[in-house]
Amino acid sequence: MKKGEIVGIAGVAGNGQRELTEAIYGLRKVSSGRILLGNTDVTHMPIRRRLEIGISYIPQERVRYGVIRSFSILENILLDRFEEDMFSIKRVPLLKLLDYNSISKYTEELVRRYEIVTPHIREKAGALSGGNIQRLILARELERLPKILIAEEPTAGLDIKATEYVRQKLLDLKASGVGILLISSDLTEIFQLSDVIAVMYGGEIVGVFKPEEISYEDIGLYMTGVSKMPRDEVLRRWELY
Amino acid sequence: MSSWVLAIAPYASIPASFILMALMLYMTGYDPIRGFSGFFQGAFLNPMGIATSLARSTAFLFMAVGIGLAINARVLNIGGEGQYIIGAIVATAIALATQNTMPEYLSLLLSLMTALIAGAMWAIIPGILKAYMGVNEIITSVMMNILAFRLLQWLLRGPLKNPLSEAWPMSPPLKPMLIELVPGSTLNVGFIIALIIAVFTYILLYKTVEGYKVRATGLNPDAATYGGIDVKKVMVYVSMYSGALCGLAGAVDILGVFHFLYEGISIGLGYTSVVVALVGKANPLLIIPASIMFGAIYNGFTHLQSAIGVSYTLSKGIEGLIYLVILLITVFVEYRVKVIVK
Repeated sequence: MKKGEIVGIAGVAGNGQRELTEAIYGLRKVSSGRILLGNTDVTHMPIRRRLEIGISYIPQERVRYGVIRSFSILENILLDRFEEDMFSIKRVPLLKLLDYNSISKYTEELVRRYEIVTPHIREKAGALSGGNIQRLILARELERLPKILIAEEPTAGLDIKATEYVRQKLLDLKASGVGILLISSDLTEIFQLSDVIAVMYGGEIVGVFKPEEISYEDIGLYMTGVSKMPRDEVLRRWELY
Repeated sequence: MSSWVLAIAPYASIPASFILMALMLYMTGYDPIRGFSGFFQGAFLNPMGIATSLARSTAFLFMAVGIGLAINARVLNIGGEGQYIIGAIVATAIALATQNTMPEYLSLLLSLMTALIAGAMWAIIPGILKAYMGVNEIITSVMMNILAFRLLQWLLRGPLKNPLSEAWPMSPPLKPMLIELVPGSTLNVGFIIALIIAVFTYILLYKTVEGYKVRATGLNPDAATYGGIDVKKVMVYVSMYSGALCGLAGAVDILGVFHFLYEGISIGLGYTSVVVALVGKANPLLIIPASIMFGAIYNGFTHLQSAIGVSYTLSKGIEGLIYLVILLITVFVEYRVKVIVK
């Protein structure tokens, strides 16, 4: 994966995409192989460290992983960012007091910029609609200024307006130089956004393509395991693209 | 339902529990009116009664604040009983060892600190077993409670035995004493310490990054993990914090109220504290009035017992029933009960 590039992983759900993203983010233990970010080996790093070096993750199961429903919008903005200096007052030793003034201001700004529809930032995240929860997660993850973003089914279950919004945000992020790993079972989305498409089947990458060199029909054959690229061809193209 | 209704509910349930209490006393052939008079005289209606009630609530406050913090991380510390006993044992041992060689304040400080650490250590075992091996903390805590009580029994017949007391297993009297707040009563500076710790715990829980981690862990461990929180570590830490406060409760009672160690120092205080924590919605500030209420009830029953000569067992039984009523009303006010006729 390169800077400012979207790598789309196409595949029928359940062919190892979830395992791949969880391994990259650190929710799952890796038994073999290595994960590198630049020259840093992150394979066995705790999630906290991965966040610090700039990995962001938009999970598919947004209610299970992405937000805490009984926390307010404000508190959810802190979810993977509570360690950031802008949110705490460093006055007492050992304890990090949360700076609710600065957090409120920041949250209000994000709610405005990401057009999250809510009566108040103290509203519980569980009271938001699916689209607004996704905007909240997006706001939190993009504003962290990550180096790479893993977006797993980022538009699943969203209405057309929210879907377009999320896709545009991903393209903006790409333009700003962030590498994005997009996992989606929506082929339109993969073709619309990706610079490189990799197809997963049975836990393996079975094909690597540029979007312009393959059709929907042909990619379908790879997704269902009918066609398969030899392993060295996959690696060759992976290097090439 | 608005939050103040939920906060008030346990106190509103007191009249209901008193009706029940009157019924129980009447049925067992005692005079409820005289009983109540004794109860109120002892618990509220004179300065000494109030002081004693507050003194009784001190241990509840320490323990319920600790247990409440752990509940926020979804760890139920039912081992307060054992941690209290261990705290009391350690405080006694350290006080006995240092009372003749050290200035009083140093001896007190050392006893309190070691009891605090001992309580944390006693609680770390179920904490680690739960966090890293998935062992149910309730089972291990109860085992640790039994272990603590047996240890107490043995020590009182062995190393900590008072040579002058033949019949009763008890420790020699302790000289270091916590400062009394009301002269002649058992109310001591421990109550103030408990209040400070309650406020501190509230700030810790709601205003700091550490507290944020605790609450996130309790509300959604998956999302907390996603957010880079080591939920296992959080579980171990809250167990220790909880245990430390329970240990401190034991030490404060020994050094401020009893002044010697005996077998009956804690009869279910740790378990009652779980109820106190639940009535206080696991919120350290709401736990303060809850502890005072339970302290007053506990104290009131001692007086009720002596006023009408009820047996200790019956008195404790009714007391337990009161706790049950308060807890049930506190819990059920959050739900809507619907009767469906088929």
